Amino acid sequence: MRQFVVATMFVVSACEAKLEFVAPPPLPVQPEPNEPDGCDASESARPAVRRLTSAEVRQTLQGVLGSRFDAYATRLFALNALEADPLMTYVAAYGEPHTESQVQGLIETGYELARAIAESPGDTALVFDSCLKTSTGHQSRTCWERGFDKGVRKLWRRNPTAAERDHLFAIAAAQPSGKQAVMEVLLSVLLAPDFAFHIEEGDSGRITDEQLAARIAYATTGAGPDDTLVTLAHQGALSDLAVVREQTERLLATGPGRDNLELFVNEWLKLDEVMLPHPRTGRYEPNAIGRTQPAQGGIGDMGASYYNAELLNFFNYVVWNTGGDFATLMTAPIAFPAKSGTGNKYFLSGAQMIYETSGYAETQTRDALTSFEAKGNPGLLFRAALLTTETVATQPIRRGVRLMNRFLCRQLPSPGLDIVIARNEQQPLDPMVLANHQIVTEMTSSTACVSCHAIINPAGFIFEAFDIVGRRTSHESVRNAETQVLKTHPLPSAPHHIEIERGQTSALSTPDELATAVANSALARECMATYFFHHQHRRAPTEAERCTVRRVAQSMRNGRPLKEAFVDLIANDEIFWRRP
Amino acid sequence: MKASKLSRRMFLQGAQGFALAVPWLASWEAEAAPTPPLRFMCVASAFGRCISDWVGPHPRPVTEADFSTGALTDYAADISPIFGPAYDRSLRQKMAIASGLDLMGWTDGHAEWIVLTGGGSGRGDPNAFGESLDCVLERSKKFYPTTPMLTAIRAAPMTSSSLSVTSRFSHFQVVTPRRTAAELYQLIFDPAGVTRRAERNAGLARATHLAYDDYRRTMNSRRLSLVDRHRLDQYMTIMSEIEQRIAQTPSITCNQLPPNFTTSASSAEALHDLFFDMEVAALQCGITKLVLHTLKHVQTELSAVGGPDFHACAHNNTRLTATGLKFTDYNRWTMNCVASAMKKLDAVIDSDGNTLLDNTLFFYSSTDSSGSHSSYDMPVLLAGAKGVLRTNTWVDYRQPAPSSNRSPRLGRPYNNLLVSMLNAFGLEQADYSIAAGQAGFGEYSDGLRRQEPYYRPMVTTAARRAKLPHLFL
Repeated sequence: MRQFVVATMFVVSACEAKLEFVAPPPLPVQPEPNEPDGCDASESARPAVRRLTSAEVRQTLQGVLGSRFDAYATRLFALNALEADPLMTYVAAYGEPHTESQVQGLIETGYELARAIAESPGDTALVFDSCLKTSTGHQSRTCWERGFDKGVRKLWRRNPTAAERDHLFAIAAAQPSGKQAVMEVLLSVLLAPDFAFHIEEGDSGRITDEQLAARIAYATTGAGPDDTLVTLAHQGALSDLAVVREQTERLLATGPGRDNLELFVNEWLKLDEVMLPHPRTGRYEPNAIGRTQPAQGGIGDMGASYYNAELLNFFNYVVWNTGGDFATLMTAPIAFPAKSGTGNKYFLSGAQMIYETSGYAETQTRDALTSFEAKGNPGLLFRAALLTTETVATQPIRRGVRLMNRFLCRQLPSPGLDIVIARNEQQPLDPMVLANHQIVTEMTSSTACVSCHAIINPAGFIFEAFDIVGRRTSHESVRNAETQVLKTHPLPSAPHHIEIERGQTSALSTPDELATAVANSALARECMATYFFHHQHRRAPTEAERCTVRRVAQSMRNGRPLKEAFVDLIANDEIFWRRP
Repeated sequence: MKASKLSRRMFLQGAQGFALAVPWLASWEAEAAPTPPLRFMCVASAFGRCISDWVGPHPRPVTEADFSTGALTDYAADISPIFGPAYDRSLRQKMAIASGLDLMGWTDGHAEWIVLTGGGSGRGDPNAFGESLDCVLERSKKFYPTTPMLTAIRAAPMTSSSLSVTSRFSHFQVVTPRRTAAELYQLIFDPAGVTRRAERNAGLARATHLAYDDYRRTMNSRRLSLVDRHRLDQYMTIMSEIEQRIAQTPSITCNQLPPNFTTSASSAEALHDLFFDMEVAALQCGITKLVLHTLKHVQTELSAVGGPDFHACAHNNTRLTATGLKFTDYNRWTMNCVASAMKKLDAVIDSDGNTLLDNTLFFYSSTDSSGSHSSYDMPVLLAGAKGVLRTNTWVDYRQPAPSSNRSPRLGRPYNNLLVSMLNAFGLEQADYSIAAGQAGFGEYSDGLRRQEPYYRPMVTTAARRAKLPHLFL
């Protein structure tokens, strides 16, 4: 009961308080239809145990091993009995429930890494150097203490207790050699729940400084706390929000911090699902983008990673180079074309052709970006990576669902495989007679489909202004299997009625109008912030946390730079607390 | 929950001891004399084949409703310039050649795994998946009722091209094959390698056991919520199952290699023969039941042994290359290698008196049809699988004539072959489904082809789940 009262008080105060970091005056919370006060005080249980993602496993190990990690990683993955790379392969597979492959991946990773370190005596300075100097060194307690203080503390994100130190030392002392001792101790450390899981034990309430350091570190870099954070936690200096904010800013701007932010974009926009243009695409319109003329290069040679790199370059440029806000992210008419790869005989950039820029850069890296004007493709919504398709016709349904789901957080139920298969087995409509949008309308006109597609289709049809490679177009082209143009259709008639805000439909005619509408949408800002929350915590926000997310999202409306907004989403009062 | 967890674990530990003891009970093995299992061996090449030289006109074709067929032994001489003298009468009696199997999945002709997935994307289709047929077999309890030493051997001499893709880790990935003979030798035959693997398995089992105890301590001693305990409990259950499986993995020593075996080779065909020797020995020893072998050569990879640029050769079809070789020559070289693999299998007598080839479903195909990024009429050869496969047969599923001058003669979905092979190992839809409601197996992601009126009756749910007529008994 006491906990409930405390929790309730906290939730109310968190929602009503003016957060310290917010520069403009507090904005009224826009209530959702089913949330009369916008911030329901009832609190749901917040898990205190969460398994690390594979990216976090990798980053944590890298944080401890430093540059040596790469050498170990190479060997580790070459030796993996699964003939696959478990760290790389379940990057996207976070959350619950656990799967057998994820658990096995962690076990095998721990085993191989422990063995690799134990078999590299020169590198055991990592934690246990003095234990191997003599044949009985590993039986000396003192030689292990440094390892417990530094290595184990970093791997577990907390100081091992006296009992745990005793336990680990007992394992070491029982081994016949120093090498075996290092292997067994590391194995115990790497396979322990404290490595694989974030564990915040104890009663609800304010978390410890050690736990706080771990929260800041994983939210910003996806790795364990660095020395600075550990020191601050040890000094008790993290209880001040200003210090937390300062550390968050520092870590977000580091290489791992920026990597982690890119990983967020990958997850938010599901970039692993970016489809390459159909191989035949590369051959159509040979004078423009054809592979038939090698000197002209082709989109067919651009891999998904190239598309994704352009999108991430765009994101990085807006966030870091210009200090841009959410509106800039959604509307900036720029692109980042570059050569599609060294050694590629089709050397001209496909991106240049898609965005119709005046040129391209030799290379584009996030530390050296050159922007080119691309008026036809304003903002994040109209990156080529989000527009391409492997089919010979555009996919308005896919595009519309992405807008609704990823940018406006509108959860639309799946139609079910049976309906999709049955639809595919219908008599196909003739694209020589009907335009693509007319075919989609007809295909989705049944009662089972229409309620959702009344929302999806208009959203998708506005993207018909972009062809299958993401290039702006003024008409729809029907192509045969050889990608020859057989017929053209006009684009769907405007305006398109799209629900950009809750309960408010906007009539939009052009991609530029859509970009502007999303840029001004409270729902869109909150949606991105919610995805960022999910990236940090691997779960949906509780009601109290939703208040914070919404408040930060609202601050973005006033031109708050995105890099500050991301700091706001991590370094706020919520970070100090654990809920019942 | 705690009590049942402990008793279950105790039970599993007891079962491990029993399972570990079984392989050492030689008298059991001798008395049981079980029927040898049906193995699977897939050899796949790249760049397709020269269609005009693939199979010569059959002297006495029989036309049925859905296909034409004839006996391979009816050919008085060679079947074709590609199937040369290596395909003698005895080999023909154990094999089948199929024409007219068309890919329904997206492909650019360079995704090697299309041979076992029917498409190169793994995405973009509600019925698509990122899993090749071998990975399905590898995990199947019907294919592997007991844990093998190696679930599969994947070999790709001189190339990194893999026939295998999986989404076992919830993320589409290509499974890395073994590239060098030394690597494969170490994996299967090197006594030190076998010992290392046994040590590793013991280490993993020990580590898992230790970690399990740590998790139990965490569960029991800390202040965690019920939800968190449930989360850890699920993790522990999986750990326990993994520990059990690792402990059950047998360690088999195989010494079936030819005398004076070395892992070096002076030519590409000699290198493939080395690999085939090891793969056949592994099947014979029971180390595994599943072998994949990539036969892919491009100039850079063969330059050391003076090979031609087969890629360019394939694109130019019959045009002579700088080395004077034609695409057909490359095809004949490939199919000679394939014949060599089949003959090595056929030279081994299995425990039931049949040959290893009789007890293996042998499958050859290519990443491309005609060498020019085409996926109509894929090259398909099957062999062995006595009692399962109709042998000494050529079967052509193509329509009698093309629908227009520009169209090829259309056949049947290649995916029905994949379904037929899965059926041959006793797997039904429920066994090989990756997604709920999946219809058949293999990609149907090429929207244009799927909507072709000719194919429409062949892509219904029922048709996708059907096996090929005639070819399988």
